[in-house]
Amino acid sequence: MASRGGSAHRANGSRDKICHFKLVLLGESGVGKSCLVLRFVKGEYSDHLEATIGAAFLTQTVNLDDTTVKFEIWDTAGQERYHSLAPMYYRGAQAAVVVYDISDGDTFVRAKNWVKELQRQASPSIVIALAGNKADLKDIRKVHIEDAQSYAEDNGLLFMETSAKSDQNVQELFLAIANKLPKSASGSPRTGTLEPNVSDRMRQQGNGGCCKS
Amino acid sequence: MGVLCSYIVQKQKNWQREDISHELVYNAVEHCVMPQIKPLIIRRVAQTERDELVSSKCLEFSGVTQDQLRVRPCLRSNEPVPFIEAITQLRASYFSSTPTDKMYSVVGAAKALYDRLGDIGESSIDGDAFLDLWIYVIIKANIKDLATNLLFMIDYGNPQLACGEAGYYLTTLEAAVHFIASLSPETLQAPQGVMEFVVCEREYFSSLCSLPGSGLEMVASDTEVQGYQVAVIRDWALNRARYMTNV
Repeated sequence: MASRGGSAHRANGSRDKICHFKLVLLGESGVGKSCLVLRFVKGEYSDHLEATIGAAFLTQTVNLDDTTVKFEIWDTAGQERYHSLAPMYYRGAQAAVVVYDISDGDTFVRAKNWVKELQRQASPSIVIALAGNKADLKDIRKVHIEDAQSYAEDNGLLFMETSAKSDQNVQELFLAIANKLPKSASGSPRTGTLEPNVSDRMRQQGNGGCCKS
Repeated sequence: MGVLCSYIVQKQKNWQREDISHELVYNAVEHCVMPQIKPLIIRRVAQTERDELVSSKCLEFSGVTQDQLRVRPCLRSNEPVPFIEAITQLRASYFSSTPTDKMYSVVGAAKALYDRLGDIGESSIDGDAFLDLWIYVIIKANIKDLATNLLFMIDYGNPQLACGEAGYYLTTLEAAVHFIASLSPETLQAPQGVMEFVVCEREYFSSLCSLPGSGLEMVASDTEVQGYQVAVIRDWALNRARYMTNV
């Protein structure tokens, strides 16, 4: 699925290209996927995000020099019983963030399996980033940074250790992904500002819904 | 349809020097064209066997609880019919005439679910939690020809919505349907607390027992049941309209 293009005016009057990219979040339940994305999108973190109270679908833009990248972030179901459903989520994704918890070695093993699966089944041009989350828990680290770094290099992945709690490398991770995404592959630019999401549009239509018989 | 819409958008831009939303044009064209060709398309995308399978699973598990589907305790609704707004909105998708309108109904159902969660103080949830609840809502909604309608939306809905919010909730619908189609009693979590109860009100429940998927079974009047604890439900005992209250 191709990314969609558009354009928007900056404050200085220059006209930027807007590129929409689908980004999926993968990783075992409890590694902090939702915290990471909430920190990126809303700049928030809460210790009370018990086993991920977060958000299932979110959008966020990143401004590059001449392009605005709009991420459409899809949170996937990470539980083992939903594993067979994952391909439906990453189908057509241009970017994926595979998250593990540096204080839990099993989640790193699982992350490697996700990477393997993406390389086998997702779009060949997908940009994959590996995020070692909970970097603030260095004292109880189970996954050495060198091991993850070397695995990422061997597999051509972007890699960063992140902490949603201390806001370490969160913006940097998404910025690195935005930079690596192929903007030239976008569809024909569409004039106008960012389109409202479907639910906003539904509200504009009134009567609280959108179904027409 | 997409090419036609792009053509109209471009023409409008060239002739009138004004931008019109591709989505609005798509909707207008779809409403104009789709009623004429919908029967043909539905025949083309019909998934009769899959529809029957999904419907039979929804019926078989119509009595499933939020607990059995592993919905997190903090997200459970204890209304008489939990998440009724989402169920109603999802059912409305069947009656929408165009695939994009159906997609909007699906998004509307997801929003109704979030609204309800907002009422209980949990408006923002992750992909796992959403899917748990979504499966529950879909089973309870038991929409006619769901697999066919799903394919109709995927193949003929506005492709520009595919990566956005509508695409996300359509994908979760697809994932949930896939999960439901392979649902078995073993995949459900054994209920915590009360697992099974016997109600000693034959007359009161006889018609309900005969309904398929009611989850109730009528046993012979002389059956001796063992291993149960005697209990009384206070609301039933205080209800003067009920003439028997034994449980």
